[in-house]
Amino acid sequence: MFKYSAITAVLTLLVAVTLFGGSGYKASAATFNCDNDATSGCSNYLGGEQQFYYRTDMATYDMNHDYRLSNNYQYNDFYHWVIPTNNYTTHTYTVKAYLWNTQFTNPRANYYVDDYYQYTLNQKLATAGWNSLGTKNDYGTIDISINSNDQQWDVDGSSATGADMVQLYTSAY
Amino acid sequence: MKKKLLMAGITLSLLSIATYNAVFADIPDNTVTNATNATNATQVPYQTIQDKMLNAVDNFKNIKGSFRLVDPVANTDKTVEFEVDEGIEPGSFSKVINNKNQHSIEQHSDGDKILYLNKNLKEYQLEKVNKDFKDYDKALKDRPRHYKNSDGTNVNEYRTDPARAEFAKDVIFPQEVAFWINSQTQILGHEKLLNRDVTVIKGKLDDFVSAKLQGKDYKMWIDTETGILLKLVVTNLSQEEKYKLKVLSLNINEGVDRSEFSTKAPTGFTDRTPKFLKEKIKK
Repeated sequence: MFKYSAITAVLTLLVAVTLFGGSGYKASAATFNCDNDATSGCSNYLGGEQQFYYRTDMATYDMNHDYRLSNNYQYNDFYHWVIPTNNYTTHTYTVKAYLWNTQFTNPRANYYVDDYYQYTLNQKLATAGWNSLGTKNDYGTIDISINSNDQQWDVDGSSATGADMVQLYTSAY
Repeated sequence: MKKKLLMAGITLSLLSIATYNAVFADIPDNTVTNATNATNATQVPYQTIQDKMLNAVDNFKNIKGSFRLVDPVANTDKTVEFEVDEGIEPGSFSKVINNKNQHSIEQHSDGDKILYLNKNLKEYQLEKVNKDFKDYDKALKDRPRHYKNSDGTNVNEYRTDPARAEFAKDVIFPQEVAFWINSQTQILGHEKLLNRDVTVIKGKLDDFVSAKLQGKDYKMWIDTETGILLKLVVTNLSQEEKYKLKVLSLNINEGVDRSEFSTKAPTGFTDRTPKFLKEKIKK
């Protein structure tokens, strides 16, 4: 009896580790990538001033070789990435922005998540790659936006604000 | 006995799952190359000063000062004045002045909202801040801040300034330039600047930052105790200055005027807050 019970316990342990502790467990983490003008998954949109213009350049490291750029100093405009997580319980998401374009030079590019101020990144001084901009507890469809901070909120309009890919990551999904 | 053993097995299984969960929840989904730690002992000083810069807001309670930024590539010449409290109730006031026309913008933050004021145009913008950063920032203290993900792309992990002093961030929380520092950076020694002991370093910009700044080399003067950036000069091959930032005045832990942190909009100013941001202010 004892031997049978011990074997049952060990087997239970092994099955649990196999099911939840192996590579399959990593599926509980989730990464949502959303490029500017994504072809699937996201439904991005322009702010009211419509100043984030679409650009392509095959020679650059931009994701999918395209990006959005706002360099019209007459406006204070936004670009929105809209990401459906399909999860309606609150999770902690890490927010990342990808920059690899030397035209992105706004020293005060403000990022927002679901309309809360998230982070100000100095695009002029930032190095190339992914920039992790903190976390947000959120659920459902999540709106990440960037503000060009032109004219009225900056004292000179001598930079351009770039928007490429953003990412949401949660370790528990 | 059979039931007890079965229960023990199930308990062990659940414990193993919980342990696995706890371990992997703390590791990014990317392949980590700990660039800031993957060096030998002789290079510890650069890591120490980089770590100070990446966590500068932990190293003072309050700060007051001003700095000047000249960026000929962007045709910019600004002076920034700031008062920041990173204590129990974080808040900040900062003001950026265009030295060419004396126009200025103010930013006030009480840690919950940010108020931008354009006194020339008599306009304001009010924003609600996300405060879900504390656990993440705490975890970052024990994690690499720079690594490469699975496809080899650089990842930099930024911390949030609780006081939201974004106009002053290049000085009081200089994370962007801290990520320029690597094993090739040279520690030149120590100097005195504004009666502070500063660590002086120099290095070469990578191609990406070099293209934006139109410079090749950088030199930084960093407050040794706090990691605050007191001076930065970027030069090109002809030794022309292409970017220069210099702190003009500095008082650390000598108190600040918290009345400047108020986010109440002055009367007579027009609200220029975008509609979608206003919704959060109402909550």
